[in-house]
Amino acid sequence: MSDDPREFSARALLQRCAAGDPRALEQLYALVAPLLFGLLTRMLRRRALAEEALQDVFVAIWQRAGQYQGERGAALAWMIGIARYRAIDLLRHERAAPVLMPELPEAATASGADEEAPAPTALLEQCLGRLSDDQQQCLQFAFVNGRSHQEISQLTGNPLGTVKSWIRRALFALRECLES
Amino acid sequence: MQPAARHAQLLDRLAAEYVLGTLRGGARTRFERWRASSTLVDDCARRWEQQLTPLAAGLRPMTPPAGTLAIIQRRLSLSAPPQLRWAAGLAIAVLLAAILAYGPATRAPRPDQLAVINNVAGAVQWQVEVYVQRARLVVRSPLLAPKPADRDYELWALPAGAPAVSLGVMPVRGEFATSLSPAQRRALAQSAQLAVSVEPLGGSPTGHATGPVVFVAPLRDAG
Repeated sequence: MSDDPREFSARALLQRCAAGDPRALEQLYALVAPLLFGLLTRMLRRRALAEEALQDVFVAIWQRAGQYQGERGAALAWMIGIARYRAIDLLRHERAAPVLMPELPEAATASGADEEAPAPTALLEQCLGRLSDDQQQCLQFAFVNGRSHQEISQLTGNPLGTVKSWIRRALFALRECLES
Repeated sequence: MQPAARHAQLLDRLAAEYVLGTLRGGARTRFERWRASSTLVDDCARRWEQQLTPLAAGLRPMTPPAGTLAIIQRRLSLSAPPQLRWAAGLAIAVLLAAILAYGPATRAPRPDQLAVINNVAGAVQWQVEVYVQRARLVVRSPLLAPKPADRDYELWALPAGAPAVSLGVMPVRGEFATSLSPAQRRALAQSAQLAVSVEPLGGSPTGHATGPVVFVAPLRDAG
């Protein structure tokens, strides 16, 4: 994430939020709300729920900005983490969510986007490319769409045990590739 | 394998599944507690976060609905910077005195940009007013806007050379005011036209117009 052009501004704005500067929150919102709202809408698949979650996420960002430690990780990753974990919490309690949007296993391209979306890092893309199609699809369903093992098994028509082992192997193959 | 190595491997696996989101139920809650109490566990989860998060950074951004930032600011009691509150109180007092002194000559603030959307009969259906300084959008609907029960009208800014930006769902009748986000203000500053599309209740679920565009009106500087 460190090569994302938004990263530098996001760090500075988080520091100002930690110092209690309300203007910084407005600027941070303008910078990252579209990214986080896109992610939340995709994970929660209900616009109203995603809107509420976005509010919760920014309340948490403001309240926890002082806990963000720049030296221990990227600011965007920190905020995306807050958004994803909030969505997963909501999904755990909203099992019967009606599907309003189709499941898209692959990351959306920038076509028709509100703003130009940055691509995953070249290295990550290269490492993902080394996984089997099934493994890639499972990782995307889990990470980007917030699906559980059980749901991925139903969505892909593969046995639960197979899905679990594909994911486990995919994660460690990915790490090995990223760190080699 | 040594017990310590097995332990480290198990921790790494749990951290990976936690970050991925597939660790659920009680196991997830237990891992969260473990993470909060141990730097070793926290570091392990953080490493996975750094590695996997770029997967999400490639997603298509979507413009949140108008007014979301204002709700967040209200929830955090940030509507006015705290150190300025007494100054705001003073300003209101001065303004009140001015209104009392110059009552008849005082006018309501004038919008910076204005769009009038007429219905097919040529009557004013909506009047859209943009107040740049106050980051405010006011929509007046003097006539009842006929629409299907399961649909809403959504207003869009059409910035030159860029995708449309949602300004929110239109009122069927009466007056509706909302705060403008910086992104919406930027879009409005670059727009010569506004559009209205027909969307599912509550507005487009995708952040882009999904239904037919039924009105397009020029947005002009009113200053």
